[in-house]
Amino acid sequence: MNWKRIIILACFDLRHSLFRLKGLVFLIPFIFFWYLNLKFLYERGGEVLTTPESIVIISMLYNAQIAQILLILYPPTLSVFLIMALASTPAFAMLSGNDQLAGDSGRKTFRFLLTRCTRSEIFAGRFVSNYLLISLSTLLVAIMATVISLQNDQHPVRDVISYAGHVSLLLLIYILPFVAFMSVISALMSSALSALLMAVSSYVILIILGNYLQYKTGATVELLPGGLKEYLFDLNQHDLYIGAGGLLAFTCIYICIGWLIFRRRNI
Amino acid sequence: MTAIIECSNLTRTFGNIRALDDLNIIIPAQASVGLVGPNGAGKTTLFAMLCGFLHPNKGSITVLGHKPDSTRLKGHIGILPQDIPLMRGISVHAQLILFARLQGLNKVSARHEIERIIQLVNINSLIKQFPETLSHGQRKKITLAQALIGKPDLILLDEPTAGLDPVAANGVRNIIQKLRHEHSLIISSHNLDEIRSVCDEIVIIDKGKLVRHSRIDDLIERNNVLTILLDQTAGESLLQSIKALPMVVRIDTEESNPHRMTVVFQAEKPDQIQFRILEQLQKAGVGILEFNRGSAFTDRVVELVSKH
Repeated sequence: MNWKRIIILACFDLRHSLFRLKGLVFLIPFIFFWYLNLKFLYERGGEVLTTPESIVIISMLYNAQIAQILLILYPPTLSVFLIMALASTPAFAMLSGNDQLAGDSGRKTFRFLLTRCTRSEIFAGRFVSNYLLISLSTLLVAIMATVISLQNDQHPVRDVISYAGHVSLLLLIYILPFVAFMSVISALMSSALSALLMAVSSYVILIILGNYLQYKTGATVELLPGGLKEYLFDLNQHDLYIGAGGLLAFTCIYICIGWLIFRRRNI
Repeated sequence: MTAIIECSNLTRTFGNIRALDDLNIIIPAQASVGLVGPNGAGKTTLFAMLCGFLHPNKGSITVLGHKPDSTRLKGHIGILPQDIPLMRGISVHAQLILFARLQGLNKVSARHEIERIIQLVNINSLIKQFPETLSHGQRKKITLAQALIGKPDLILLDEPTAGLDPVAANGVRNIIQKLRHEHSLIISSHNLDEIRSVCDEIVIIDKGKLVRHSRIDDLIERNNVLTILLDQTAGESLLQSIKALPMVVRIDTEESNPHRMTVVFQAEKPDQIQFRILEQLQKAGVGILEFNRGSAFTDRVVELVSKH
């Protein structure tokens, strides 16, 4: 693999994604979603988030201990941002990653690249570009959430900045397996729309299957990276490592599957 | 002689269709090769496999001594694919720069290389446009331009003049003529005159099998054959009078084109027999549309394919 070619491919794809349908399909809903949520956090977040009602809602979503930690121990604005980002990442990954490989494979435009770089370089370039698109957008929102947190939350500046770094790092790791999941789907399909539909249906099927297996075996079965969310809330260091390790394992598995499919497919 | 392409027992199927069927070809370096065959013969599939777009079901293939997906091969092949779109919504210039950068050129060298290509293919007016706004012929020129970036060792041209107007097609032929001295070329085309004017060798395939691989000169009998296209069908009396000439060995006519005849003769002074035949045609009051020394290349190719 030639890293220079991967970087050239990734930068080119990232730059042009911003102005083409491929990127706008993700960016427009992403901006709209976070505009509404950050507006809410900015205008009323500080007062509302620390009320007992908010703690009850978060307790229902996760558990009382997690709710206490997120809304009392840590700056609540950033905690709510983290919860919303974790919840919305699968959807945004599907929107941003559906055309990682599918469209250009279907239209055969990869043929112009394939005489100049290998399939692995194209695969890696598209993965990096898609990851950068979604992670840089999320980091930008994290910075805005941090500014709002500094203004609204009653926590020392140093604690807010430190927690913002922690939240950002968690999100950067959390995004990885979802982008890799879309690599698999996009390597299978021949158009962006079919990849999007396939991603949604596969995701739903895997959720149902996971719940069914959990019900049948009684053991915890995680078929999707989304199931590892709760490990990331820093209840203890051990859980955090399990969560991060699990996400990286999902990423590696998805990348291997996606690469095997892309390596064999006709271009 | 070093081979640029070696295919051994190459087989590729699409469902029940065998697009390539145990194909064996060795193409030497610095050759200009015409790849010819009827529709569905497997020409485009062969190109796709040479570039690594498709994998073989059986057999092996090496290009410039490497497997098609080898990283060492990248940047050494240029291809003009048949009707493949460039990326939509990205200017032609940006795409050409990307291709040049992927060939290993830095930003400055890439710009210089694109300038060279723009002049060579004469696409100055198209460079700032988006591919979707260009006509078929204009897009063809752009795809030809991208195939030439970085002076690749081997250039594959799939129907380079198909769909072009006569002026544009002539321009492309002139570019190909220039390229044949600097690169190894493989041209797939149905235009046999084009193949004859540009290529040294011809590979004829049909139903995925090799029919003939030879030098074009070896395919055409030049010394003792005349091909004559008349303005009417040659009558029996005319044919007999020509056959009666002392140096004429035989006359071949075609059912599909009765106005054309091929005269095979034995003569140390071929000019004499040409005059004698012209005399006979004049006596019979038959006009001549074409009078060529040597057998017709097109006829030979058609004959080889139909015999297969």
